[in-house]
Amino acid sequence: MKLNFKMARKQFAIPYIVFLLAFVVFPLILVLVYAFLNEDGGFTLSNFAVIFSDGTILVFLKSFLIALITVTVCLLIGYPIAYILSQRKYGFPRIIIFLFVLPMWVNFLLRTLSIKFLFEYIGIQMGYFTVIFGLVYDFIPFMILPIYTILRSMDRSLIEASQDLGASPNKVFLKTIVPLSIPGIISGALMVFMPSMSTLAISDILSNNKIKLFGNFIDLWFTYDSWNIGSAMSLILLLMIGLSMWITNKFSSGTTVRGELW
Amino acid sequence: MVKKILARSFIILMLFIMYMPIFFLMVLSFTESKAFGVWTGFSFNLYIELFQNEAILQAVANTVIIGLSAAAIATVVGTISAVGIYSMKKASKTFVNGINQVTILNADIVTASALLLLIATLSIPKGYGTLLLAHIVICTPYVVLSVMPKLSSLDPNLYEAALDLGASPTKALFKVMIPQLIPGMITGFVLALTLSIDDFVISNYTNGGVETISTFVYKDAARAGLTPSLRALSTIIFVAVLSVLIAINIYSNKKSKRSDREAVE
Amino acid sequence: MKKIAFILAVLLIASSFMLMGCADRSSILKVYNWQDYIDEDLLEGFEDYYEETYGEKINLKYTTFETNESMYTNIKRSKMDYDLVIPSEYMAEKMYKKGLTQPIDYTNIPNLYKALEYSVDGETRLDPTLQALYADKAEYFLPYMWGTIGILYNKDLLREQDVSLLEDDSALNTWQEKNEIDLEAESAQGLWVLDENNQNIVTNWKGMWSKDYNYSIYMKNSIRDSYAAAAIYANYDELSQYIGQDNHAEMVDKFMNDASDQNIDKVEQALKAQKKPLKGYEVDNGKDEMVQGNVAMLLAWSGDAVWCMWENESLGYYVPKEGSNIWADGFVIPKYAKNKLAAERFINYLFMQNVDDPWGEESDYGDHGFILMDTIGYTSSLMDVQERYYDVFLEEYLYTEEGLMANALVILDTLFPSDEVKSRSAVMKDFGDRQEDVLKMWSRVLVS
Repeated sequence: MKLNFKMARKQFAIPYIVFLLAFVVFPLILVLVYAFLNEDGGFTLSNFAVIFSDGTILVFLKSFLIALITVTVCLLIGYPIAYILSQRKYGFPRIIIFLFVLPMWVNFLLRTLSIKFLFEYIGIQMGYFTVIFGLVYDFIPFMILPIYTILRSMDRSLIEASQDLGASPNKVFLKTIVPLSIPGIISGALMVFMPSMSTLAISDILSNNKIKLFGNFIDLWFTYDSWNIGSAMSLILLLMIGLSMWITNKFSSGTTVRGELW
Repeated sequence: MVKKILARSFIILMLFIMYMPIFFLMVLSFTESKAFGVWTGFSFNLYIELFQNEAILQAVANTVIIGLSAAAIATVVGTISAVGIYSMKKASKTFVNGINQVTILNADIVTASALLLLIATLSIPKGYGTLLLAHIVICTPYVVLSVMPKLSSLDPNLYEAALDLGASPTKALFKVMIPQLIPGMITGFVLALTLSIDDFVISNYTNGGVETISTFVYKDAARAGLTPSLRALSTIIFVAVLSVLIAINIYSNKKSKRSDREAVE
Repeated sequence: MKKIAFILAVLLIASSFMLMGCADRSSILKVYNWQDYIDEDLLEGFEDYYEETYGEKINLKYTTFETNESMYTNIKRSKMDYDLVIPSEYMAEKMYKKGLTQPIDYTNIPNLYKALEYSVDGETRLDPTLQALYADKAEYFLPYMWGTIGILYNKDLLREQDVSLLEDDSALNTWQEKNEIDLEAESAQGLWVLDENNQNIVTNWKGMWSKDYNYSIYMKNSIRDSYAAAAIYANYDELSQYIGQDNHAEMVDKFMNDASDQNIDKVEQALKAQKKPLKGYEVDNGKDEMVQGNVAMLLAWSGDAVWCMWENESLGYYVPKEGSNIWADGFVIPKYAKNKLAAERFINYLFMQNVDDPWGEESDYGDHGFILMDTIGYTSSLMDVQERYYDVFLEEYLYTEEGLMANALVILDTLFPSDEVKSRSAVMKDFGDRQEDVLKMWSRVLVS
């Protein structure tokens, strides 16, 4: 008796679906539930009162802004790097892109601390500059990779076509190449934005604990046993993820460019 | 021409900035002084100290074991599951993919707190088990994501042919499909491994005392401004990773040369 | 089939991980303590000692925590079954209020009492100050180590006008009488003592708020300690009136533990004003920076201060004269403990006495309180240990090849706080249901 082709294969996913439900969906539901409970287990909206207090709103805006700046800097630096390395005419061997990704495999805490020590050695004080530097330093490979991938596999004929139509190199770049690479940019931006907004260790280390961002706040509430408020704040980040997933779907027709090295 | 020079200088400058902190740390791993930035003469002492430091070694061991285990389990489960998901109807496929994406796009502090709530609600004692579980949870979605694109470029006829020849679906899966998915599986495995080794927040919330490199370094740096022997560890990690990179590159160059040669023949 | 086998295998592995530690629980002792707060050799010797003394086998599982709060969360939320924990007194109080403690059975801790009379009616070895301070908590909390909070400063990094007064040695004569130190020796010249009557920058909390030390002052990344310092600072005008009065400590208690909206507001203003020129909020890495001479002032616990001062002779410590905090970390047996008896026996082991041979060189066991104080560097809760250790400390640690260390007297004063210091220090209380408001304030400060 032969099982239906599709049927047989569908079953392979069942254990994983169960796994996802148990260890992804259920915990997130717990977060939702805790957000609406108080200490004694009764329903309450008071956790959200804390969310909308001036301290929390301020830290949300601050974190948002810092994440935005980080993404921008990553883009401004990362796009040229990706572009130059993807174009044969500049003659960089493939190994160079690996060199930009290599630091990712050295533990990020060690890397962040090495930045801190270097700055202190030079005499630069810990503050917003160092935090943003650290964020860019840590996440720029996530920006470079997707853009690089999409630039490399770009359809040459489109570029040649615009050149044939008489566009100057600048115009070719701005009007053809950049728009075609937008899925990569979006992918990179998302992969830099979320971790930047919710960063914990980097802001602590590179500001001597003076600059606390949204991630630090969630950590603070969970550390001091106020799990309900912490969950409420986590919920906010969850909503942002939902939002970013929606944006991704809208702009890149469902495919995410994650970046492949081989 | 000018453009080329500018471009080259830019890349070199960027690489320089990128590697400066690491090199700084590496150079300073060859001196003994506790104070940072002070050179007190060449010495391998920090390396000797490193290998005598049980706590650090335990943390490294934990990181490697958990990393490899989680990545391996994630790859196996993820691949098989990707096959399953791929053959689902559009609606359910989108749904499952959506949940899969959640973990990937999620902020790690949210995943960490969610898992923490789960662990506390079910009164599971925190420790090695919860840590490994957490890593599997965060790694598997990446494998699924890496394998899925490969599935669309698969030749379905091979699978059908295997079934026609009498193989069971499972056998056909393992003998026919999986070998074709290997590049995606490798990407997934590497991604999973990278993620696991580098993870901090989620490990911190679920480890119950079992240290990984990240949790150890964070505790240590918060306490004593980085034990000097950790400079030695950083150097070793970097050299190891660099060697792997070079090895891969040589291997893939050889491979492409071989296939070039084969193509010529 | 293969699928099912696979799922079973995974479940099996997972459950084996969880069951891994489930050997006979009654022969396991789980202790949860601060880091670097025990002597490793003592730990190693415990299991053998237990078997010899009680004829039972015990398996000691010793783990450490970073903060009171993380320890509390693990016990309250995850219901972890530690048999013995060593929190700070305010956290012990909180645990008690939430029903997370068990009463300590002192009949199992005979070593707490003076060597000559091993009975509960015998006199306790506990420091009378601690006895008095923690009398209301005695049912569930037994002090282990204690100290003060104050300003750790670097003499060389303070400005001349702030330092010049430090050289006043008018108090030296009384010290000489009290401790028979040979101050005639050349090496003893230049010993500095803080004259408590001067207005020196570090003798009150205003020093930590000084705007003249940009990027050179560290506060603690701990809400409780920063709150305490800020609360006392913010109420300086009122508190300074009570200096030298009998009820000074009482008033410090009142202002330091006040978590009313009004006081929270004052603290918030103070902390926000302090933030910008601050180098940062640290927990432990500040010690290194002080020793290396990178920062001028640090909010420090006395034990940490002693360690730093011993490493760097330019460092000093002062408990601000308008008021500060006196603290103790002590033994608590949590609610979910499964082996209370072994826990109490462990405490007994840590309090092992050996009057004649404290180092345990010629006997099976030394005086454990003494050894612990030496290893950990904080002040023991046991009075006789303190008295005996004073001489050893002075002669062995403070006399170097060049003679008595320059900050020797300051170090002694820190490790063994004088009555005067005690009279201006108060115990921290649990914030109770005001904690959320304090946390909100702290988060507002952190985002400013």
